[in-house]
Amino acid sequence: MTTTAFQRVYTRIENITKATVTLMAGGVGNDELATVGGRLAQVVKIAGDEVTLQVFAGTEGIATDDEVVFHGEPPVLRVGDALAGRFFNAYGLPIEGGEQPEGEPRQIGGPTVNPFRRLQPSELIATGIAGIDLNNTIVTGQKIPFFADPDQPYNQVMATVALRAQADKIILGGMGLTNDDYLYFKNVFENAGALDRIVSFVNTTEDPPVERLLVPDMALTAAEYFAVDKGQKVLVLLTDMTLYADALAIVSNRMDQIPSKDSMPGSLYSDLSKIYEKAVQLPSGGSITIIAVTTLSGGDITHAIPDNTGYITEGQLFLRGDSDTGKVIVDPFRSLSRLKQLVIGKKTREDHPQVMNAAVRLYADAAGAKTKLENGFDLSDYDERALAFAKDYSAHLLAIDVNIAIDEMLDTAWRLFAKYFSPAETAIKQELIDKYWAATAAAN
Amino acid sequence: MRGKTLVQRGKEAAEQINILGDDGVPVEYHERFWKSELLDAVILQQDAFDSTDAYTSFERQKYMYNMVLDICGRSFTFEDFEACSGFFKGLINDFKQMNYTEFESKAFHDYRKQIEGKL
Repeated sequence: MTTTAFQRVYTRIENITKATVTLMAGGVGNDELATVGGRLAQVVKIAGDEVTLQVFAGTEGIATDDEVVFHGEPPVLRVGDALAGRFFNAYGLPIEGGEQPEGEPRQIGGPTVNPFRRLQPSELIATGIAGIDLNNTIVTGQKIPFFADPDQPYNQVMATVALRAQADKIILGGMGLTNDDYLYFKNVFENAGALDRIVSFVNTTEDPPVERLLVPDMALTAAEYFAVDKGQKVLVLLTDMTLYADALAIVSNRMDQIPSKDSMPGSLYSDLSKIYEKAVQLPSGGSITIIAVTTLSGGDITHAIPDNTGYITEGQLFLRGDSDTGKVIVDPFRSLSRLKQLVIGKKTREDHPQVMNAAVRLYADAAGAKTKLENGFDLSDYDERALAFAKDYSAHLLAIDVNIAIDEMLDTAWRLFAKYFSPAETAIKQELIDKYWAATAAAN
Repeated sequence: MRGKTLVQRGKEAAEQINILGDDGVPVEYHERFWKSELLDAVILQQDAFDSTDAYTSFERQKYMYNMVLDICGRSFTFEDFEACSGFFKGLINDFKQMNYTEFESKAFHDYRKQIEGKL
């Protein structure tokens, strides 16, 4: 940032810690950006005239007489249609050169939409992945995380969802992405020719970790522009929220705040909800849907990050490597979309709820049969059929590489029912059996 | 209270079956387990996606509960455990269909008669 006329330049820093500098300055606002010795910093504390600035890149090498210039405003994003197809860093500046898009500057991290101005979500977002669309349908305006182990291909799933989802705009917020993941997203989006509807905010592992605190707010400010101003259906992908929370912990630690459970700041719940609660269905038809990734350490869902996330979001999706089929599946037992009942059987075919329930119940029977097998007991005829069904169900419906329409998923489920079970064993409503079973059996 | 005991006894039987295997326990254990499954599937589980089953009046609950308790009070003789599970799976299906029909409607009583015919 270049200095402008009549701008005060401070040259006396009172105190320097690992991440912050403190100086005496007047007329400074909370969250205001500043430049400290050429590095970007943000106001984190004001006590009278004593202002504490957090230097994103760290304070190593900063001297007490370095120049400090306040920018006079908190971080802003210049919003406009020109955002589409571009990759930005945590400050909303284009990565890999290019012109800064023109547009109206908007402060990031503003308040969420008033609940009174919201509509009950009622429109589904199809992803083509049956583990999501069939068993855990996602609805516009919903907030839902993937709980995944760090070694699972969650970024590939996110990219797949981004390309298939029938949304007007997709905003990617990448926090602590490896360079490989960043290039992966870039290549996939470019090759699919979908760049015109994708906006990306990326903080890689090469950038200072604290910078990634700005990424979700940047992404959601862009999302609000497209949803509120343009009335578009916006899908926001945030990966990985665990690294975001880790950055929160670093900051709170350096500011000498007393840590809470798992060395996370006590404000973790508020910090996360400030982000997730931006998901909204507006009466204008615009909406913001948030799909996030929360990586688990050792599958521990009682850790403070997934625990707090689970209270805020509307369900969760679990990925699991299925050794029977060698594929990654969406685990039907642990996943839940809490808003699915708003669309299942209403916006989708009438047999959807019953088929979904029956399939999961039979899959649970198969899990029981598997335990029996592992314990060395003989399997009954029903157990054998349940196991065979589970294998097909896993490969043709639960696997994340499935890409079919919801009606096709239902037809596939009927075909599997007819192949392995009798109508009574599925305990599906007679009316639906009459309508769909015979048709499926005839087609087989 | 009787229902609660039935479910508890069913769970105990299921644990024994898991430890000793299907063949390792008397058929009565399977019968006990499947009676609790019947109670679970018909009374405790409700299909919130179904417009009829989502709303169940007190009379209807009482009616269904008494019907299930009546069956659980009877003793059956099965040749083996597969016959037992097959029989109860059929019953569970009939009862579920009954739950999906309107109370006291013709279809409702048709299913009731079908169930009684099986006993």
